[in-house]
Amino acid sequence: MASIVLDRVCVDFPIYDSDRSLRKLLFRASIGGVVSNDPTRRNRLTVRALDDLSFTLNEGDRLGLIGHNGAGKSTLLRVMSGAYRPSSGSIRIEGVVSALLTLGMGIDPEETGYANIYNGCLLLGLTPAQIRGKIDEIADFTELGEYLRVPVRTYSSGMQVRLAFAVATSLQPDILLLDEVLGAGDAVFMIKARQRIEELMSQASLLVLASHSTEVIRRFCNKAALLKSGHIEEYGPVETTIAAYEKAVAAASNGAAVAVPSPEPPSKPRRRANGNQARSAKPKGER
Amino acid sequence: MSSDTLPQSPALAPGAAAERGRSSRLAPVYADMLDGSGRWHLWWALAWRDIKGRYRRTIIGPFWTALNTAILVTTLGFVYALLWHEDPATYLPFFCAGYISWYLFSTIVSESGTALIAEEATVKSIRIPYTVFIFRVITRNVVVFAHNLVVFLLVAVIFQLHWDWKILLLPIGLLLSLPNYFWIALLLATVCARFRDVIQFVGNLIQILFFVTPIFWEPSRLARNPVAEFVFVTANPAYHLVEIIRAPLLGQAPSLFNYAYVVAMAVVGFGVLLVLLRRFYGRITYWI
Repeated sequence: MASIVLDRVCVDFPIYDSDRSLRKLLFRASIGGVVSNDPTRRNRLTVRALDDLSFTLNEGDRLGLIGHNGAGKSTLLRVMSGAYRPSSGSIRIEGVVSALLTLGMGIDPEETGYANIYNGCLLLGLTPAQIRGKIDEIADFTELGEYLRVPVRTYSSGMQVRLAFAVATSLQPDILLLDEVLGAGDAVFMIKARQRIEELMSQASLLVLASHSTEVIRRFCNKAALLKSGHIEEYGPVETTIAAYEKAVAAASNGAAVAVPSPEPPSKPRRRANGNQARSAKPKGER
Repeated sequence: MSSDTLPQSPALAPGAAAERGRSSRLAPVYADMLDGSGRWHLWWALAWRDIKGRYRRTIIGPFWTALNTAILVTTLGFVYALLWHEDPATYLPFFCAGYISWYLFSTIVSESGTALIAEEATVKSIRIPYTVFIFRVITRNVVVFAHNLVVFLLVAVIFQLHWDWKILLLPIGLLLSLPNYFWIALLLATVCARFRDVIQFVGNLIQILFFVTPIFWEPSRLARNPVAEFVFVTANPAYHLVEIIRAPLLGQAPSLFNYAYVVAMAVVGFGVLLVLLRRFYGRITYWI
């Protein structure tokens, strides 16, 4: 039985002294949630990437996550994969999880495709015996043929996607988490990827997919969640959620074009969220 | 892996709800160590890939490690022997055994700072025991040690070292040092994830330690200066970790004090490690 239960999940990214990672700070500010001061410590900024999320996913659910850059889609996927532990609240994950979140994960460009398949499967928790049983199937799926014998650094990004996708879906996971990556393959591979996912879904698993493409969401999902600044704006049937998303996009781009302050916050509120504004913006819960 | 809970606030984990004590907060730490050690296929493959990667497209591959050591030990060994009017026949084996033992210690310590940081993409994408990457650092350096051991064997043959049963203390020395390397590496990997300056600091410390630890000079040289002897020999953890490997290589037995020190260090070290991880285990991914 695959299921994911989120109970009041919050994720706060701490921002340490900016010298250490000015790049990261900027990165988070442009994509991130609400910047605020950590109430428990002075002089410590945090970005609230996920704000009090509670929902349950069960077998057969195919959830699409949509929202602007920085709405929290990727962070949510990373919490579901178990990589991040919630700052507060809890998550319960039941079932074997396979996550295709970072394309480069565990891939050594100097190694051949085969070696990377082997190592990638080890990372996912397969034993060498299991890998030997699967490696031909994975290799076939990539359709990379003899390219699997040469170092991955010679691959195009689309070829790397094929490799990574084939490895990530080799596990027959109960829960499959995908982040935006489907778009990188070519049309033929998109069809294959879709077949593969549908095959995995038919084995009664659970899919969570983050994408900006409403088309991708429509094709793969039977539920959708619209995220905004770390909380859920809309959750339910795909069409309803996409309608809400498109409305928000239209409102935001309208506001930008006419330069009239819209009643809703503009599309990138957290860029301005500097110390002053943020301090009063949201008193944050305990960690 | 069929059932998996990640309670940050332990209240939500059923069963653990009643006992919000130290055991429940340490449970994920123990689980990490257990899962991590169980995934030896993975860390062995990663360690081996690291070693292969260093010498990719070289002709003699990992034997560069041994060759580097051989060149360094012979040149420095002869120079030091000349400088201090030592007999190369005794000094060279001493220096070689000390150097390869030291090399094991220093590379593990200096490489562990980035053990987790370097795996950012993986650690932030999937749930994987942090200790996998600790075992990987230790393993690859033990493999390097094994290569270096070949050099020492050559030195031992050339200078006709006499071995008796005391060589059997070598595996014991290794077994006692590994728990220490484990806690040191995991502690440093965690602390360095949060405080990046520590990586630089440790790098400096290792350089200094090489000179103040009896590696190329014999501990007996400080016999007439009790304060220096205490600081650089008796109290120096690096000395004891080196000595329990070096002495058996030279056909000598380490002292009981060496062993006691190393065991005590492991106990204290694990204590410190667990106190730290109990508090911060759930935060590590955020620091990376």
